[in-house]
Amino acid sequence: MKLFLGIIWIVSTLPALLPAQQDSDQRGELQGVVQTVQGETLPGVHLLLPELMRGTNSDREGRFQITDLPAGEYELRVSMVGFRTTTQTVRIEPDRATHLTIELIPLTVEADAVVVTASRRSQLAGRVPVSMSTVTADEIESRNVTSLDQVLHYVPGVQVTGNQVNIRGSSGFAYGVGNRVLLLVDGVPLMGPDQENLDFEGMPFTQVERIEVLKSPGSALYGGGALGGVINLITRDFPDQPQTSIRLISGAWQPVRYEEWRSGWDGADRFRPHSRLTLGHARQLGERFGFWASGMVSTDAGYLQMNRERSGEGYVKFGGSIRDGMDLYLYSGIRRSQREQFLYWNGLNDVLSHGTIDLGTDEVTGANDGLSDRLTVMPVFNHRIGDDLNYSVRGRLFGVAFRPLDDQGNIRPRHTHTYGLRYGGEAQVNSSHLRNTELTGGVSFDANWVESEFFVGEDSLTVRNQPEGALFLQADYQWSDHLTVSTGLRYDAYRVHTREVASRLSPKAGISYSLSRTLTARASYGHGFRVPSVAERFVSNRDFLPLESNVTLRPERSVGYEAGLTHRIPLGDRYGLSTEVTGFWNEYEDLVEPQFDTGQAAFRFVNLTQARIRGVEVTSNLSSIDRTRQIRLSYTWLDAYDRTLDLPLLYRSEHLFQASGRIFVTDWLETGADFRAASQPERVDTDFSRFVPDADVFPTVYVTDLRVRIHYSSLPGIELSGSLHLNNIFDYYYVDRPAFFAPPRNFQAVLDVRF
Amino acid sequence: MYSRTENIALALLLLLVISLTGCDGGLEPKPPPLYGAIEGTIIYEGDWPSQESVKDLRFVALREVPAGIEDFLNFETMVIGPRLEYEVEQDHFLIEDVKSATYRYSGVARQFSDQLIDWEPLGLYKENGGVFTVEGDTVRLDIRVDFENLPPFPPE
Repeated sequence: MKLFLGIIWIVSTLPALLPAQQDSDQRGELQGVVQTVQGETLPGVHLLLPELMRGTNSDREGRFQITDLPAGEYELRVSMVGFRTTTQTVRIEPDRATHLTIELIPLTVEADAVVVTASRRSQLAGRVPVSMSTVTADEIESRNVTSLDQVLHYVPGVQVTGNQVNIRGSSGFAYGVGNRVLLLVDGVPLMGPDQENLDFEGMPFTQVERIEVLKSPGSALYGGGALGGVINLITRDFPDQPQTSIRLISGAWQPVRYEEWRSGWDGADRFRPHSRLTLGHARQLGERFGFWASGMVSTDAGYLQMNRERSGEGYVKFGGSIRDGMDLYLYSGIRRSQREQFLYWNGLNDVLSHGTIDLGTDEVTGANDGLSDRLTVMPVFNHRIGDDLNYSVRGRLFGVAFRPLDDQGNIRPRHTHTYGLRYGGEAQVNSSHLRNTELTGGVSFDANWVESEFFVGEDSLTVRNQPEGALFLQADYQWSDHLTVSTGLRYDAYRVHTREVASRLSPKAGISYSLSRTLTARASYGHGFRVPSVAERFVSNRDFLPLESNVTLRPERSVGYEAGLTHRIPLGDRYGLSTEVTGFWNEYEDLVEPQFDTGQAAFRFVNLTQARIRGVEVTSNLSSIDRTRQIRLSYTWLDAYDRTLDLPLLYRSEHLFQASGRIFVTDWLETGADFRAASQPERVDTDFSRFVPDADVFPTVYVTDLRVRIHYSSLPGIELSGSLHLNNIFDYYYVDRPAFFAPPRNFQAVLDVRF
Repeated sequence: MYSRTENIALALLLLLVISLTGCDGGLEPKPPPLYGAIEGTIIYEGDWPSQESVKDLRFVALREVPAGIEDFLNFETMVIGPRLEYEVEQDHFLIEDVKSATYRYSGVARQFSDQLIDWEPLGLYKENGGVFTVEGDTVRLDIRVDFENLPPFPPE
């Protein structure tokens, strides 16, 4: 009897002792999405029900699903490197799906940044195996950025020399021709068809969501232009509510303090104004579509003689869901500017006036005036086929026209004009069919067409083109919650001359390993290459500087290695500290640099040298979790060495230092400061100073910018802000590129209205 | 909100960083250059080469003895005189606004083809170890060109 009663008692009390199994014959499921407090979805988050020993990881859209769960109440643990681990109780209802939206709080502010450039897909910045920096819309707005170089000046390890971007020493100065950094807009390349230069102002910064900078060779994913890195501008999505913005900027360049410099040019004695008006509107159109449009007009009197500019531009992004799972977007823009181009000064005693070059018997001038037009069209189609497969097709067309003006402002004859067109497209497939593996593959095609008397070359042709095609494949394998392995391969083929074809296979590999919740290690290896631009190969002109063509130029090649550690720790309840240390080592072969050819008495681009660029970069970011207080310090040490000449590489600074701070003193008052320093280059080109006086003067750079911003949002539906920016506040004088005086102290007042 | 101490600490850190940068003014004008003048007389001897091989003819002065023709292309530091007459027995030149300096290699040179680089010396000034120009002064030179006995180039 006792035994019988005992069995009855055990059977009746067992469900209470084992709650997870109390409804074991009734099953349900758990699904939902994991996101940041800002609403950005988080891929790769680990979700675990310890009592059931069941778990999963969120997919690339941040979604998760755990099926066939016994009904009952369980503890759910959600963890992710760089975020606070959370635990919550969930109830699984029989025959139903329980939906959850889980928000994770980052240990430090940048831990939750989602980036797309490292792997051509969304992933958390903390999991990429390569060095990346991200500039947020918040920073862009706070600094009142109107051109790309203003942003890049404060990205760790990045220098801007004239119109060339130098990421960790990858580029020196090449007279604005050729580029080792690829510019993308929403993943689509946007490079000039002739010089492959970056257009710093050719985009609406009020509509940019963030800027990602990949700081290692990116050729295995993006091809030739990405030898030194990649800059990707991610544009905004359409807002839920209609939004109109008006931004008025007005400012002035302060006269320089030396009478000797002012005396060379009549315009130097007064403040020289600049102003800009930007209008924008964005809204949804129905439930599926939306658009944003941005227009801008600007005028700048310039701080140098022959340096004025007037410009206007308009950009539109339109699109949305054309069917379930299918999106179509079109980004297009047009820009016209009339710009006087100051090319080189008249010497250290007359830095504000353009110089002239005496070629013995001829004299050429260091300035020109021209009308520049640019057209950009970029359609993007995305199709999601189920949860594990999607593909996208992207097109690009970038047209430029440059028409020089004479002294009376009339357009010079047709044969002096330059016209160029770059067009192409790519198809990309992303698949996560294989367990824990993300596959990305695709095909890409680009061609350019350039007509200019500047590019006549030895074969006397005035029309140039360099078509190129590529195949790429990358696999990211998440070995465990801690370990992600990435490999990739890209094959490129370029037609470099009328009949020759160059091809290149670019592999890469990377690994990211979370040593603990606060410490992540990463290492990567990748090949890079770059086919010389039309301008480097064919330029032949003596209007501004003696330049001769070199049709025998070979592609540059590089191999890069890097390893880094990222440490993210909370400091108390309100602050987080992130520190990143990266070592990098890049070997270059057939590096293309301009060199003076005494036989032709002109500069030519030549495959000059083998080079080694190595260094260490340390970045530290202290920030409050609510982002109202931020300080970032970064230091880069560079050893850029020309192995052929046994000398330092030209125009590379050994030390770069940047510091930025931003504080919201109150809810409505924000202050900020930025400081950057670059040591004097160890070696500069003395050939240029054969022609231009003091072109070898290149001092250390110290620039400090300050800003104060007031936010006012008491009016219903209207956000108002005003800011004052004091740039180069200590009026430090330096050069932006050889023989080009950099901006002196200047100020801007900005009025921003949104409704 | 944040404590006053936090605000002050952050503000001080920012001030420290930016104040470190205000210590140096960067580029500044060089002392203004001093100018003198060079005046010369050239005497030609022997038969002149054909006019096709004398595309240009000038007095030039270089600060250093050139190692090769590429040093003729230091346009920024060399002195280039006005064009000289072809097929004359004697010529004269005056160059004003010559930067005060020592020019160790000077003389008459001809351009013998249309190539910018194709120059060669015809006669050199060899007195006093070079031409010394001093502010406000005019240096007077005599140069002899013997077409039968041209100076070697590059110099031995």
